Amino acid sequence: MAKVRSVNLVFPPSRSPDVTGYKMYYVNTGEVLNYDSPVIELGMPPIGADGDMRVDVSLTGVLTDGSYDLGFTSVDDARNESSMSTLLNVPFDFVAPDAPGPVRVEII
Amino acid sequence: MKNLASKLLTVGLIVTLLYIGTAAVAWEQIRLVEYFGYTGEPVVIAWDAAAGVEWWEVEGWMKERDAVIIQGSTPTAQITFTLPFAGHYVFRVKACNAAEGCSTPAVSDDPAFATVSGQPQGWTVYGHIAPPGPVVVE
Repeated sequence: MAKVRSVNLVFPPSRSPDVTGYKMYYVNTGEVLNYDSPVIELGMPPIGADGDMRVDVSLTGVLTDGSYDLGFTSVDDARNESSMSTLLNVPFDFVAPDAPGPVRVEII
Repeated sequence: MKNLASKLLTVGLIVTLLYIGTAAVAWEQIRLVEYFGYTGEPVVIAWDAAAGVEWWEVEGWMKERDAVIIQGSTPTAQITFTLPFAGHYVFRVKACNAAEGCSTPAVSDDPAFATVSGQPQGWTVYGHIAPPGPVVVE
């Protein structure tokens, strides 16, 4: 089984005290990124020692190889949603290369 | 750099306050000084100082929750709040002294009392949710 490298997207949490979760909107680079774009509910990602949140996008199972524009928002319990923090033209490569061919022993 | 959609509002709230049975606790104007838009960020409200007032009581009523979410009192003619939740807030201010108690409240969304840029108009404050910070790939 191939091994796919983790890719973390890192961001400081919202400063608002009433945030209950985060969303990540995504489109292929060049498409329109807005609140109608495909979205992944992130819940509350863990906060690292540096105070930032990290999301391993390789685990979402949604993004494939390609270049994406991403938008992150924070959400409160009433489903109000913040403006987007965006990250544009992000290249992802989640496909491992082919394995080398069969290995044989060669006695010299 | 903070990603703040800050805006400066100069909103006047002209009030006529009557204290039941006695002379009014005289003060004339409150205004929203600075509003940084996001929950957790400060909102500053100030008003004209007035003779005879020993302290002011200020409330922030939240429309969506139909509840007083913010309460405070101050001996100075200014108070700073943070907005705990996203939504619309209406502010009420009373002028108080020990001898007479407190006046009826001046309410910020009542055009009978409030002015915006010198014209009669009610106002509210809307608290937005702050977005997450800049995103980077790691």
